Amino acid sequence: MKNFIKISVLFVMLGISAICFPAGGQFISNTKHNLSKSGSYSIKSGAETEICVFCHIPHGAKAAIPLWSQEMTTSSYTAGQLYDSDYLYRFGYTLPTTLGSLPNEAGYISRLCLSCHDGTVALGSVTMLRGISATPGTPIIGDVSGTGTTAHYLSAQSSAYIGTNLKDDHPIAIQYDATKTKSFGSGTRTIELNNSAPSINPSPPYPRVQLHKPSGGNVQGHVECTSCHDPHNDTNGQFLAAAKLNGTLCTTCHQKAGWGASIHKTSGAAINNPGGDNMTIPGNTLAEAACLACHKSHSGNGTPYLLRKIEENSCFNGTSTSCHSSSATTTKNIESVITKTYKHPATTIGGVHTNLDVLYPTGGTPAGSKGLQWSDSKHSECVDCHNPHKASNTPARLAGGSWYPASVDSTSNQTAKSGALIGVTGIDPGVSAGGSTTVSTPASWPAKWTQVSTYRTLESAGLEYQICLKCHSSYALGNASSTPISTYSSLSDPTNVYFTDVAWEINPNNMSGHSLVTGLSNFPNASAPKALSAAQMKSPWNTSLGTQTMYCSDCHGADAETSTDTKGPHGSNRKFMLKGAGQYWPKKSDYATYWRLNITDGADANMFCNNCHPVYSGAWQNNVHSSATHVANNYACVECHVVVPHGTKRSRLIGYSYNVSDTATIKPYNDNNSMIKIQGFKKAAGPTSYIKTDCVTTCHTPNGTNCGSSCDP
Amino acid sequence: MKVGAKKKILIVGLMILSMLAMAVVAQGGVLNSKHDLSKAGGTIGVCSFCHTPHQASSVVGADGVMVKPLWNRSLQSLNTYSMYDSPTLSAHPGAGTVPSTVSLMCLGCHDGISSYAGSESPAQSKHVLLNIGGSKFTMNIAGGYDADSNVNCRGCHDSMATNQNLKMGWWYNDGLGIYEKDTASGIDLTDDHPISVSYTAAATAKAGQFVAASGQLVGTLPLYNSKVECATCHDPHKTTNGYFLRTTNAGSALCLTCHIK
Repeated sequence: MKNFIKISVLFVMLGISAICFPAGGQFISNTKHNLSKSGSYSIKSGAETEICVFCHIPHGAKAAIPLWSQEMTTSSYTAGQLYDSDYLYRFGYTLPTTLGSLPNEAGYISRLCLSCHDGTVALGSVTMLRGISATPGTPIIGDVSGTGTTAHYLSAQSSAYIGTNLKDDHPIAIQYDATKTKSFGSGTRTIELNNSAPSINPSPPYPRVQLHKPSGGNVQGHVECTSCHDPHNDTNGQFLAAAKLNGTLCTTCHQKAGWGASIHKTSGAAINNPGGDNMTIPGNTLAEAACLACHKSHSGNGTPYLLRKIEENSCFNGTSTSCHSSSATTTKNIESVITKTYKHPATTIGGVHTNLDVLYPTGGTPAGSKGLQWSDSKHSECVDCHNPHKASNTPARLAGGSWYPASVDSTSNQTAKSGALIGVTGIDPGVSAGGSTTVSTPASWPAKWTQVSTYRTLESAGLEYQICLKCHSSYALGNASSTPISTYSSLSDPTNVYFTDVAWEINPNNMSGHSLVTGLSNFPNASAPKALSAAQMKSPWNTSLGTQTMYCSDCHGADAETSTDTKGPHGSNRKFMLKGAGQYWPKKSDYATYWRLNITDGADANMFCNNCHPVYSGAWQNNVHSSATHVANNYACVECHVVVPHGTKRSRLIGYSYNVSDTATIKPYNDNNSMIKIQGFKKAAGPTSYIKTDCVTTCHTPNGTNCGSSCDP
Repeated sequence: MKVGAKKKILIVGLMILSMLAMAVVAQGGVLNSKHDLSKAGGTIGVCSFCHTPHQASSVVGADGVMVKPLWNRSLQSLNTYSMYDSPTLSAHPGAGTVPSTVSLMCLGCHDGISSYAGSESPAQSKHVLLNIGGSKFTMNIAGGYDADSNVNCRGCHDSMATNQNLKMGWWYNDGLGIYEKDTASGIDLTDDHPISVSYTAAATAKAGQFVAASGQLVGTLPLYNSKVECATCHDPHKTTNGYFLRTTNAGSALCLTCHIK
């Protein structure tokens, strides 16, 4: 009998506990999805007590799954109203053209949510209320209202309002396929999605991120609203299935290569959110904000790619002091430099950039998309040169206050030297298939002073110039036929700076040039001595002679990189974004007076070449410059040297004038098409070994006794 | 305190009897409920539409369970049912699933199939009661309906213009009555809460989404062989909560008895 009583008592206790602690009530009843009169939030019914009834019904369910009762939205959600991106298209994704209306169709599950959230069906429009059918069009629970509703409809004033245009919302009704890849000429990029079924649909505890049928199961199921949201559980806020902080929810699926080491993922810098996106950035630090510092899964201003703001504005982030706005600290302030007079046009050209444009330089894939060609797709966005998911502030190639690296060697042109350039796409004619992207073989480049006909696209540029060439070469400029510039001259920018085919110029098969691709000793066509002597170079460039390499941005950058400007060639107050102590070439700071061969100019710290080459520092460094006659004639530098000194067909950046059809002398290499006096040149055995006959010019007569056929062709 | 075993049985027996009596006569019981198909002055009592003290059916369902208690009808067994299923369901009933016997007894009326055929064929006719006055009884419309019959046709039917004109306004008020929609593929239960699915399997597969069962109870709601059946939510004799619900659904309390949402 004791047991009998004990059991009786136990049952009574169970009964009491069941009454006092209704099971599960701590969840949906405390959320905004409790539209019953017991709800704690603004939008609710004044009379209806049942909670589940606003969505579900146990018998006679309208759409059956999951026992659905709310009237379904009939919005069409056709193509054009759904998220679309060239990126997905180019990866071979099949983009949905509508949201399904039947339980076995993709998009059906999302349509359930949209029955309230697209604002076209009144809240409380359930099929039936306790056995009484509703009159279609009239909400049978007719008193659901509150802030964010208009006549029982969810309105655009509500943060829960999605509307009928889903272009700025994370794709739904889309089949998840982590196996998609994109091949580059060198390297392969995956869609960067989690390919592990257990992680995508992890075991309980609930809630969790999940994919949905109708096809493919866990790994190739479909993404729907309920992939990220759990309408019954608001533990994480916004009914999210996982936490927003640290990108936990997003990274369940999106596993961006290199993200873990990126500064955007790891920075403990305080996040400063100026607002304005209708959704604050979560967390206290950049690391905590993670994906949501830049992206907004619904109703962002930057489409596609679900950016918070349009293109570069996402990077600036308004007046945020923790991002790249003009309010940010010197080391991060991009907005101030990229809006200077001479700049990459991130802020002035918009709506052109597409991800993977390096693979589709002529655009048109998908139809209507732009590419890289300057004729119709000229642009430059932050992400053309930076990979925000991989970028880091380490290593820093340049120390604070420095124009150049502390030391240089054969690896000084590698992107690995600069965390800011990690994982950026590029092109190169000299990288072999499957080979290292840091090795560009001269033999694979075209013959000297000819146009590159075949570039290899690189998933991840190994050398800095490979990034620059995406635009600054015939790859973007178009086929230039016989000259590196002729067809581009009409493409001069408003500041009358001509764009040239830099690939043509830095070709290591040229006889002279700057060592962007490889060390000068590796230039097969260069005459000995290939490199300059130590005395002809300034620190740090006076070491590793012949093997040293460099960045394009060793010469091009912000004019105040050593003080107030963020480093890098974003923008400058100087033409050609020339940087260093001297920032003027080929003319002085008045942009009118040529630099000339005299001691004053040769020692002038404002002269650009003087940054690395001691043109005159108590003495001239070669006997051509020191020639009393030359100095007495006060020759302009560009009367012998090409005006665009990236590289030339002849030794020592000398230009010829004798044949105007010769590509080496065509403007802008022969400044103003009239300056150069040289008609033939032969490099001497040393800087002080030059004799008159090494040069063919109108100054020296007779020509016949000069280098003649032994001149550089 | 010590009570003899016989006394214990007596106590329990009395409790059961009193409960049964309460179910019939007390407020909220079956009397005068929609399950009371008897007619004033009629010869068939309220209980007899479902139960009989003798000659009850001994039919055994697909699950090996015999109809009970003292069932005065045969069992629906000729029909196939399309069961509810969803991608998020852990305990899929599977194709061709026949509901458990305990639910088939409800569906014997509520599935809307096997309506009156004018005779005892099919044997499972909703109009056949196994023992009325010692013999099988067929509710027959031959002599006119309702006004003169000894059963209350109007208990189920609005009119007899067609045999589908079941009474409206019970639960499924679409003009077709309370029965389930009949389709070519069988009786459509796809828009109804799953039945004959293992609660414990679902609760195990989706930990945290279901209140744990204690034996054959989830809170106050009964399971049958650990499965959810019609009678898990409904008590055919109880009307206090409306819709023969076992507990009130105010605040969706009935739903939340099982579902942790």
